[in-house]
Amino acid sequence: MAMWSLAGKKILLIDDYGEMRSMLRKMLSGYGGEDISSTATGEEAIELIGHNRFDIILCDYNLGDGKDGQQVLEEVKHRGYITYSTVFIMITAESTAFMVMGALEYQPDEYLSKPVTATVLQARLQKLLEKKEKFQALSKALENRDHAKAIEQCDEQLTHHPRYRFELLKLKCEQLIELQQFDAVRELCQQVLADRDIPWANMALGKIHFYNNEYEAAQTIFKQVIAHNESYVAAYDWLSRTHLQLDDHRASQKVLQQAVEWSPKSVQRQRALAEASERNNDYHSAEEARKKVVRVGKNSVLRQASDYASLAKVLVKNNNSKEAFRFIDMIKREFKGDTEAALTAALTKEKIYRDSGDKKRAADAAQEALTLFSELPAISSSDLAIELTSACLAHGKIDEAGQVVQQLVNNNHDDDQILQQISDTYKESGQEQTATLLLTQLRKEMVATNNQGVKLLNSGQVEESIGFFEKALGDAPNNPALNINTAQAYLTLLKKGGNNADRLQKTRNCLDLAHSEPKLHDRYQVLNKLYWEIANR
Amino acid sequence: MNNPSPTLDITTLLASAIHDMKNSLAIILNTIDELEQPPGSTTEQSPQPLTQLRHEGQRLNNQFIQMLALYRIHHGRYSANINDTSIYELLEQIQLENHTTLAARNIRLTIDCDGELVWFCDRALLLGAINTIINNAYTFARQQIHLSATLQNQSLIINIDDDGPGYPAQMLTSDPQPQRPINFQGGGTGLGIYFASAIAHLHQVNQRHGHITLSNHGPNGGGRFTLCLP
Repeated sequence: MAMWSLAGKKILLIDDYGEMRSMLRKMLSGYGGEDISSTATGEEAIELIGHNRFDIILCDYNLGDGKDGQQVLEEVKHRGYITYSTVFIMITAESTAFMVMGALEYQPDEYLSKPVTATVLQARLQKLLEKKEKFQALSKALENRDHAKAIEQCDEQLTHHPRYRFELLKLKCEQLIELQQFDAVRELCQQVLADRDIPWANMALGKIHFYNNEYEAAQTIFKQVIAHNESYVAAYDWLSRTHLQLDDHRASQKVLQQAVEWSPKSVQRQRALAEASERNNDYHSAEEARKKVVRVGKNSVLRQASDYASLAKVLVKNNNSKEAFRFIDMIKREFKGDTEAALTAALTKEKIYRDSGDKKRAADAAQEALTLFSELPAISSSDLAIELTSACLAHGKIDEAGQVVQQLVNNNHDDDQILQQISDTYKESGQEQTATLLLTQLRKEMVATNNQGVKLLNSGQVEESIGFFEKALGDAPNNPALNINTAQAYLTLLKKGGNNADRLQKTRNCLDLAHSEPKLHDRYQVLNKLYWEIANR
Repeated sequence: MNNPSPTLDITTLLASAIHDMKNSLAIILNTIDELEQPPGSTTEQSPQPLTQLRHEGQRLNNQFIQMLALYRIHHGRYSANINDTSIYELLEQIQLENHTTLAARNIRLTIDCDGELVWFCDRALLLGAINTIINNAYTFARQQIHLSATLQNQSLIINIDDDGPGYPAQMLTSDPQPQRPINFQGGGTGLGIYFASAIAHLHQVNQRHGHITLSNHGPNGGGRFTLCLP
């Protein structure tokens, strides 16, 4: 009989205690583990996981001063660094229920309590690896975002492995939500809930109401989930979103405040709380939340220069300009070599000086921002581009404002919210007319470009349409409509035969860039399915 | 700046102190493993003092878990992390964790459970509770501890039977209240049972809470510890 072995598995150990790392390493080597990396900090772990594909990750919950294990798990899952096929084991010193409070939406495959013995570790690893092996096809479909295939796999595995029934049903439910097959989601959840009152099934029902704009009904469900599972923080997030939709900003803030008490270390949640507080002009609460975002986000890949900028703006509101400038200066140190971060800093300064009536300094900051803009191939954040537009207009730099807007519209010609923001910005400096003309012109050009490419494609000039689209993408790389049309052109060619790896990769990029645009959802699903049919053949 | 509440502070302190102690304990237990089975050794039986050391180490570990959990239950906000769990795999893990210690005293740990049995529970908490009870049974059992699990009336019933002298009469209440620790005399049995009871209580469905029962329905009047989870 072949001995069970870890040979060939890529393993990562995360523990701040050196003795423990070497002990675990010894245990794993005893079972044939060869490719074992290790690190003492969560920050380095995230880095490593981002650049490697580990089969097994053993992570201690408690990692000293930096990030804890739960944050590592959240971050790598959120970033898509690990997939369903990775075995993630969290090692904890005390019972998990108390440690992972408020983070139930991110669970590892297994919690092991210290002291971990070799036999138990071996037994659990073997079980988990066997399971991942069984679900290999499912993992692949999930990773490929091939939702239809994933659902098919869930159904198949449900008949073979009833032991994993709830896990498979949950995965299936998530895939159905992706495909917006809400009737099927409802049926599945009701079937699960008949068996047992399970939070995720209730949450899914609430989300469907939300997506159907039935906010009161959604609210009832989210409140019920909280009543039964006080620490299910995702329910607070969604409840807060429903309050926001119903324009109850006070309630929205209050709910988020409760949520962060459960999970004070979640950067995204603190950010949401800060935004909610700012909507209510509650700058003290906003300052507290913004400071936590900066503190918790330190050394994290989730941190953003805009967190420092937002904190600085709140500090100014609270009459603490001195500290505000301290945080703006920090941006340059913390984000060395990042031009867009430097642009954020310059624009924040410009806004603060402008609001305080210091025209000279504001103009200098605006000039600095424009110099930085000229060094950037493109601004990735639309908020930042809007801020730059506003600064240009405030200092009479109309042409430069036009250039920024052109970039914005090229990439977002169909995004009503961004178009509205642009015209609001022009309105503030009394140039509404200019905005209307500019936007109409730029949108028209973009629509014409898309139409021209589609026309080429429809008339059978596939190669020509691809050439045309590729050129158009040069000026508008993130435009969702342009990307989906380009993907369609590539796929038309690929369908005829020949697996061109380069074109396949380009198609994937286009599809990924179009994925988040709700207006293109249906087309995305059709083309994504076609993509996988071609990629898998 | 906000001031953290004093409760949070002491909890953090306790947790990190215990984290540190458990690291040391892990190293100690692992070293015992290596001493017992030096590479190339063929002997099955380990020397008495090492077994005793391991048993005490496991007791310490269980007590750490209990103390922290009980502290949190009394002070904190928490809720159990309930997931569908393979009960067979859970019992199997308990068997593995306790095998060496029990084998040294010639006690057999047997399991009777359907391999497909799945139930909703907090796996880690349940492990802690059952390990604590096994650790007690270690002191009293003669040759056998038997773990069995079944579903009855929409509840999971786990029995931990031993063939020892049974629980003393004053302990045979139907459900020791989690609010009231029973006697701490006689090797800390009371705290362990109190802990298990609190863990059972954390499992609830529609106001129905889990509970425990002590009886002497084990083989030849031995102790039976019953855990019932809705």
